[in-house]
Amino acid sequence: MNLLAYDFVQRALLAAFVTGLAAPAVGTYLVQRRQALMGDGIGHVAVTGVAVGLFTGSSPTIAAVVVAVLAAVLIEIVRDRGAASGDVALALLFYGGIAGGVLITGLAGQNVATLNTYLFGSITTVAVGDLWVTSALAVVVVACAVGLAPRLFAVTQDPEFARVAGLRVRAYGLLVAVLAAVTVTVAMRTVGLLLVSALMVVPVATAQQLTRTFRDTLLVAMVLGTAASVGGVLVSTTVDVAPGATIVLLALAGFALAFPVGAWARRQRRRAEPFQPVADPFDLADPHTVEEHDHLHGPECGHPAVLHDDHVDYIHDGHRHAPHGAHYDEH
Amino acid sequence: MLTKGSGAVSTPSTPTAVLAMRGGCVELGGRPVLRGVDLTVTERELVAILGANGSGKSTLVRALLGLLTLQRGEVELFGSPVGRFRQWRRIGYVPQRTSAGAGVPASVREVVATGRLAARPPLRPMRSSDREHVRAAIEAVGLTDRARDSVASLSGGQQQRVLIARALAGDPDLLVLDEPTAGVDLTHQEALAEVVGRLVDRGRTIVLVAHDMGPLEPLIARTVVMRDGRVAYDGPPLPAFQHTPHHHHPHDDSRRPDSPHRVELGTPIDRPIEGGRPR
Repeated sequence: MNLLAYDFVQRALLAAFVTGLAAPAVGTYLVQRRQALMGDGIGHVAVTGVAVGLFTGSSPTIAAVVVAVLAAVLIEIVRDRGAASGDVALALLFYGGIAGGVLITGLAGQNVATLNTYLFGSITTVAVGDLWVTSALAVVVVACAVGLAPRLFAVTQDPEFARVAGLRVRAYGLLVAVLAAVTVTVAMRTVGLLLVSALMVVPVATAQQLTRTFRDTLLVAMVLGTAASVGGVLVSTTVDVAPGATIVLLALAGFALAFPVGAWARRQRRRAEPFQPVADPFDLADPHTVEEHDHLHGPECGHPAVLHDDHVDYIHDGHRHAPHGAHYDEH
Repeated sequence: MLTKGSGAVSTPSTPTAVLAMRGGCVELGGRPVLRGVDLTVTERELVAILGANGSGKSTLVRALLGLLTLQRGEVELFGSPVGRFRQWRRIGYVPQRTSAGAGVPASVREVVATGRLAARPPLRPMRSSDREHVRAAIEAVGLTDRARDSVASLSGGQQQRVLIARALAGDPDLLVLDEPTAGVDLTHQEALAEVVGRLVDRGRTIVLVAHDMGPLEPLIARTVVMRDGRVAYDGPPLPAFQHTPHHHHPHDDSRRPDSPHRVELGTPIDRPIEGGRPR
């Protein structure tokens, strides 16, 4: 049982390792920007890129990078404009991307099986050349995501504040989008375009069950992502299952384990919280209760009535009373 | 000239003008929100911008900071037109608190540390002076014991104090606070007033947007009252904006324009102020 000695298994493990590291690194910023599904969208559009690569006989990976980056930049521009219809524009882009991909693949004379290796990953057929491209891109992604972490954190956490701090918010926003696009193509051969978003988001969701700081979340997510992808490949070498799906299911299993722990920890923390003195909004400095008055204010009581917006005040000892439940408000 | 190193970008309106807006008009979604605002804040001033909801207070400060583009008019920061202004580290901004929480967890210290970014070169770790500023800023708002906790686990008032600490961490020459005391309890409002007082003593300039001045009141020498996107009053605080003895109910309608209880400001509100009106 020495599958690990085979070249293709070693290549698969290395591809899984770099993907598992890069995808959650970018995913953390996407989750922070509440764009958890951005990776999924870019993945759909990248299908067109793969198809263009197949059609023109060039490298599907390179073509996918180009198309994915273009799509990510377009999405970022739509987002930056803050157009109300941005959501719909994105949907159009995504479905156009996948439909175009299927169509062009057909035109290229390739069958769906070829496209499947990109849609669901085909880690055991990664060629040496592909591995180099994938690894180089992953190194760039991780270097940016970790090296620029303080700035990317500030920009994604509070863009307005970051602008007043003089940071180039738009440029950093584009950088995150481009990194996401590159990551999608990095992960394309590992988990496939349809599952890539899972590897970007699920480890982050798992990590934030257990962490309290952004830095810890980023690092723990990268460790979890790597563990899931390497683990998934190892499982699929012993059991005959699809590596891409195994990786994603392992990541989800991690979340299923972490969630109860996180929920328990949050409860403990809330219990440890000292009671805060809560100011009772009805505890007025000078409360008059209805009972203290020998009558209820009303049209008959003899106190001068004053119309006040939507109710009536009664002048009483030099101030105005407005009946409110069991007491009078002072107006 | 106190604009250190700003270069000969433009001629500042007054030598000590920190913020200046001339004839500022801003439209949001096609609706005019600022209509010909003139405002100059000079060094060492503490200015409170008051007004009802929708009067244009927040829009005014956001335009002053270059976050909104003017349809007409111009803004200068420390003597430079806002588009060419580069010394952002001199400005500390406390935005209106938005619902923090969702997204990835971040600790109090991490959020406050982003206030140092303008003063830090990229790709370099924090220096010990950066750490010291962050620590002092967290201490100033009384959150030292929560520094390692996730911001999302704090109460609304505590989150507001995190935003104040973030602005303080940059040690700014100009501090712009947009409703900094919203949701902050009285004890911490007083603590904030103390911090602001110290900054004023150290010669900093402060622009404060507020519904009511609270414990900051004794510090404020100049108020700018906004109404319908215009400056309705600019001068020393009027007693009308202080608390009236019979006003102790959350249902505060004294400033609703249609309320019979609306506090009258006297003549200034309806009288054009020198140069303060649009053409």
